[in-house]
Amino acid sequence: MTAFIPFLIPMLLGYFALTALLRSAPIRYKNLFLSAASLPTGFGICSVILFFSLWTMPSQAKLISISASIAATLILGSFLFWGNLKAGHCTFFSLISSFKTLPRKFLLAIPKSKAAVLKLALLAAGILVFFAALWAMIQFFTLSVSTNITGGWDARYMWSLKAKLMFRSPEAWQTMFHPTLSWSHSDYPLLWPGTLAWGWNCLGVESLLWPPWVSLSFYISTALILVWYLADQISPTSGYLGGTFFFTLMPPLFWSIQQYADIPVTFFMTTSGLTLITALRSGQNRLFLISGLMAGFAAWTKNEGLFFVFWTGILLAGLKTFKKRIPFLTPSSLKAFLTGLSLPLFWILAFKFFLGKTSDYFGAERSAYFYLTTVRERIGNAGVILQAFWDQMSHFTTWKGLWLFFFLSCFISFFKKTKNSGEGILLAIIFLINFDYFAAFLTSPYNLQWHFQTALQRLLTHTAPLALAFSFEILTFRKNVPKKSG
Amino acid sequence: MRKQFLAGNESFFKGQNPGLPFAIFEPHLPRNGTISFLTDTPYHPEHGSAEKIQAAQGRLAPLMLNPQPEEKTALVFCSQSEIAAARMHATGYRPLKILGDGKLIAVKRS
Repeated sequence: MTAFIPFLIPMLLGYFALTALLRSAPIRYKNLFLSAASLPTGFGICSVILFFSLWTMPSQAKLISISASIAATLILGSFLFWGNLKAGHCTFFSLISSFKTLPRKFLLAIPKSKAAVLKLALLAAGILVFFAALWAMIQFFTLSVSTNITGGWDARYMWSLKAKLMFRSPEAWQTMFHPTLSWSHSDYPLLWPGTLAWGWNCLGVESLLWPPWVSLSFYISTALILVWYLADQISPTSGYLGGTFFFTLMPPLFWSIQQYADIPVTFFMTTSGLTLITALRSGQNRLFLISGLMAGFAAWTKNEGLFFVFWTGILLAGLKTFKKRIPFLTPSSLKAFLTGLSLPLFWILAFKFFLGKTSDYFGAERSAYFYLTTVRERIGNAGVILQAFWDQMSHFTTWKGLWLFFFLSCFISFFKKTKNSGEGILLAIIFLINFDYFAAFLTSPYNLQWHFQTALQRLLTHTAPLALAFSFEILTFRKNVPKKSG
Repeated sequence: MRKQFLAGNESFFKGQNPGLPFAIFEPHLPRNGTISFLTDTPYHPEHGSAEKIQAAQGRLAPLMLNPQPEEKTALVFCSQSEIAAARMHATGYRPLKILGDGKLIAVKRS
């Protein structure tokens, strides 16, 4: 039982936090969304609680991080329960009444026409295939991690060192920022190692088995968030097919097995992007809030998340200024996005300003002028970098044609009349993030070929789910009408 | 191995811990502070010595390992005692405690 506590507390904490934030928001398939997003959100919150405990009261950090997480869970749970009680939505009685109406719901659900039977059969097949793929993936994952329990290089040495310093020696946790340990990238944010250390605090031991299970949960959550989005925007059958397709992609599964922080950042970028599009189409301010929060967590996971925050902010500001056709992008919706983003951004900036100052890319020796001259000197490498991108994206065994579908969708999207706005924004996010990675390669302090081998596939993984969602939306012919705010 | 993973058998996987070879040093080193770390060849971030120091660091943290021979105390982790002796001679260390073939704790020669 105790082995499940490091999962149970974040799951409840994330669930209560998201439920509180999304209260009265009429989101389709809300339970599916909560199932996908609760655990990662909970991990994010727990990592922040641990970070602040270590920073303010390191000697008591272990106790504070666990008790504060439990307290937050209980407070949020009580708040929701009390709120439901006051509104007359007593969970116990609503459960009883929903059981009573089950036979009637069953009778109503029986398809009455051939088309309805076909639709139901396709959905059933889609669900079956999804769970079969999920099962096969879990089998493969558990077999793979058991032969390499410590994961890939960065996980085995760099991320685990940060987590070990947070767990073993709370009073000396800031050792990770010492110049002697500069190989461990002291500017890297701490959601992933914080989650690992928080779990170890709960378990009381530095468990070798905890990191792989956390990695797997982020991976599955990413698939589920895709299922939610596609079910909401297209159809439930498309949702499950999209999730199944995600399981066939090698890179997300591979980097999840390697226990890198790229899968958590992929989850948060994907959830932020997809909730933003849903919010822009439906006008639900609470979804803007969630999008901002998830963008913040992306930035708390990896520096690439900061790029995501930057470009999403620029995009929203640009849309508000120049485009009048997005009726739901109001000052209040922008405020909601910034509210969701502000809290994570606060602690990230505090971390960057006071603690994780030195960086491979930013620092005294690499000023803006340095970057401008570097770009000018190395512009000849642009073709090499684009070729590397293309070679990776067109590798069918790796990506199962995802990026080829994506480029086809880009082409078709110019001709397809869309009733729902948002595809263009999704496309812009994908291109801008990958443009950033292109620029990172162009100004890389490392050997370029080595950098391609170690990073390109991981970086493409960050936007792969968004590209999948975009492709499904463009290449299908029917869309659900967006559920407007109540 | 998958069964052991699903059964939560931690001890089964301890052998996969890359820091295991450095466990012999733990009883003889301080918990905190900084010591140097010497291997067969001088440290270079793109050589095999980089992985050794990172594995050792994971095992011995919060004690910091300096890849440069600058600290008063050094952890010497070489493949043979002859190589260890040569490295200590080149970097100004003398053996303090021998823990294995090429594995010892050294201090700066005064």
